[in-house]
Amino acid sequence: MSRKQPRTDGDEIELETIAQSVDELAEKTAMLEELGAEADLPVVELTARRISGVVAQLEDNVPVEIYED
Amino acid sequence: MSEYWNPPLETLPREQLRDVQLRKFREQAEYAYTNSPFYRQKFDAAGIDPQAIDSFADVRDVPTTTKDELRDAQRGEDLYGDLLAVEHDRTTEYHQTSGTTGKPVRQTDSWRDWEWWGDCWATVLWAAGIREHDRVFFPFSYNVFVAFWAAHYAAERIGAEVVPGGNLSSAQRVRKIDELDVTAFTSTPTYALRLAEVARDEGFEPDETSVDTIVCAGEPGASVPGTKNRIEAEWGASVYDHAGATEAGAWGFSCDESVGLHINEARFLVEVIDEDGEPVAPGETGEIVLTPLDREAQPYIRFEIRDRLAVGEYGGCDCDRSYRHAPGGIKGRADDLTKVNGVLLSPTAIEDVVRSFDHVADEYEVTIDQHPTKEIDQITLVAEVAPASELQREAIEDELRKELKETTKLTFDIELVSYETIDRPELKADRLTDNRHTHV
Repeated sequence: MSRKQPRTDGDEIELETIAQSVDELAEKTAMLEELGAEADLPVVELTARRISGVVAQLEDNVPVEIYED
Repeated sequence: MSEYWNPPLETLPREQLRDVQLRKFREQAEYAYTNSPFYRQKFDAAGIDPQAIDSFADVRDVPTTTKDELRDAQRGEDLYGDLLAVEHDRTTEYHQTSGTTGKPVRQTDSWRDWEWWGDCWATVLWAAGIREHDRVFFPFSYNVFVAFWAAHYAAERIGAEVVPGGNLSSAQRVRKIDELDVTAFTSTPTYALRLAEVARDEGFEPDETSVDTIVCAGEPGASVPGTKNRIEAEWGASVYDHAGATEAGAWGFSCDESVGLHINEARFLVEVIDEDGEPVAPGETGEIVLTPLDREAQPYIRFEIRDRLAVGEYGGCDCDRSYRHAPGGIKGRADDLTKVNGVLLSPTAIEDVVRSFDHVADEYEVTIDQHPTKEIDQITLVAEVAPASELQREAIEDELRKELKETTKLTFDIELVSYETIDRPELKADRLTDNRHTHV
């Protein structure tokens, strides 16, 4: 059972949905870093690496414990 | 890894690059018109419809923006006046100009702008060869001055290890370079030379440190061959130039292939114009009118930065970038040009001559005075003789006078003084004093 957070409009949102979006973002960023390296595009590879650091903070802020009972 | 930070963009065929510039200019002008009350009023007054900008001739019809206009816009109670194009809660950075030419201009940036600053500076550092394995030192108290902050974040973006060097004495800084095996640092050309002197005072030779790259900012020296060669010899390192402005961003960088500046034309539209506002021919010197093409919080459209530049023909550099190259970099500020006995004198021309003399030390001063009895100007150069060359003063003075005459067409009075007689500036140096207008 996933926990929910009230929306600003009064509805509720599943925290797991947020966690999943963060996971997808992390996957996409890792893929971008890899693609950048393969295509020899330093701006893509290294900017993606920087974004990975930001996304990792999101992951750390939505641990599994806060949405799974 | 590629020698280019963004290979497809930096080598984009010239015509496509011009298309990018024109589209972005129109979008930036539309954005400024829609979001900045300052530009809405300015464009309305000039009858400019940003959506109708369809050619570079249309671009030249758009009025320029001067620094005085920015100062006027910020005179009221609101910190940024009507220049701001976003709500204040979208801004994340505060910086301001150094105030060398008048009241400082306040500059705020959004997070998007700040990422843009980092990317522009990453282009500069990458072209200078800075990579993930480097340890980059910033020997400057950054305070509210943007260049070193942006360079700091750009070095991080590249993945280099960054060492902030604020709030330290020069002696502490050179010891830090030695202790941490710093491989690169950023400073003004003046301060790079000063740090080399201090390193020797501290007991080690700068060219024996692990520094192999120096990226210069704040002064044109790194594109002045005499100064660049001197810094390279002192540190045993490669010296690269950078050009930028607090309002406008880091728009110029140098590469390994030539002395001078490339214009980051994917991010900026740089126009070089004559006194009538018309574009100068390739190779001719004019004043820069600059438009950063991707700004959000405080956009600038056709900003007169008052620096002078001579841009060569496209394809003038062997690095194969599509970006135009300006041999010799910034030719000084338009405000610094002065007429002496009817001849236009640029301080960088003097710098190049003085710094090409091995027998002369790093510091010098130039004064211009009205002759006490005749209707002519007198120009005097006071320079320090290198410690090992004390016995050759007379010959050096003669040679220096001759070289300066050949380069500037002016006759200088030369006075050589002993080493370390002249004060050492810690940041930017103002080496020319014009006393003619202070005398009544």
